[in-house]
Amino acid sequence: MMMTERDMNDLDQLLNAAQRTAVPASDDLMARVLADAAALQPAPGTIKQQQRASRIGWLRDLIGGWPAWSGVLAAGLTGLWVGVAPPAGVESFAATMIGTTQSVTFLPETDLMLFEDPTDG
Amino acid sequence: MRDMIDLSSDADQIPDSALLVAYANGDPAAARDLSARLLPRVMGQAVRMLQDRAEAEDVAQEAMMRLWKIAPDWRQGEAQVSTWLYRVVANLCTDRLRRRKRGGVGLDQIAEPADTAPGAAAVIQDETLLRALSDALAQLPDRQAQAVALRHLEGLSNPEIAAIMDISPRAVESLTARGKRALSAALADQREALGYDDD
Repeated sequence: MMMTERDMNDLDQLLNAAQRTAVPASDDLMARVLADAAALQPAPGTIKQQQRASRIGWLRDLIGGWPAWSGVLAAGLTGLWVGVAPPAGVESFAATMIGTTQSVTFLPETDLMLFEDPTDG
Repeated sequence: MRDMIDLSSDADQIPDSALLVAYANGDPAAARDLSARLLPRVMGQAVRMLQDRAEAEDVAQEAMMRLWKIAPDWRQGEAQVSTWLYRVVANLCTDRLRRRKRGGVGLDQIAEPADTAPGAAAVIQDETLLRALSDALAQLPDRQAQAVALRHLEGLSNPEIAAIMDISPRAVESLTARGKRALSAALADQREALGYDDD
């Protein structure tokens, strides 16, 4: 349909009239809204407890959640293990790269691996 | 209880978002203060779009219900409560308009008031015109109807509408221009029902 200037003027007048429409919220509506609010309101302190529980959450989120933490833990334990009981290959590799290695035994009298034959000697 | 803010002192100064957080923290006065502040605005927007008091009340109650539900997750500073509410009410109203369009509720199905006092006819005609406008709005695509309503019924600026609809101000301009042309065409189709002269 072809629109005329008059159509637009009519529309503008109507929109202006509609813009002035103001219907106050009835007491009944206000009562219903407040009843909804009361029914849905969290108990005091609920939000704070949630916030406290997630206070360390930033660290967990930084790494990428608990699954990522298990990877970090596994890598750390492996590193510790290699440090305590380095395989022969690691020692020879380190000797090649650095030139010399020195093994230090923290507990010289104890066989940590219990590989010692108890009947021996 | 009021460990966040003292709501009794000059509540008008407190931002909506702070009141919402107070509500989520269990403050019983916050809901009353928020409702007194926001419900008239919500109801007004719904009435202007729908031109039906009962439907507007349902929309207003639903919008406020959604506000109460989102309160525990509300983060101050990320969004304005008023912007969020404009969006929710606009969406709820276009849902209603779509249903009205499908149901085919037209001007002839609106109950006329029994008032026969002088001037009543003019009031009836005004109400009929405004209802026709709302019905014409129902003929528009949702986004156009929302943009036109926010611009021409709520009197908001393009940047404000852009924030509400999460689009660029240029897109708002385009939507309102197309929407207004479509609205005018839909109304022109009802010229007789609206009582316009043909000269």
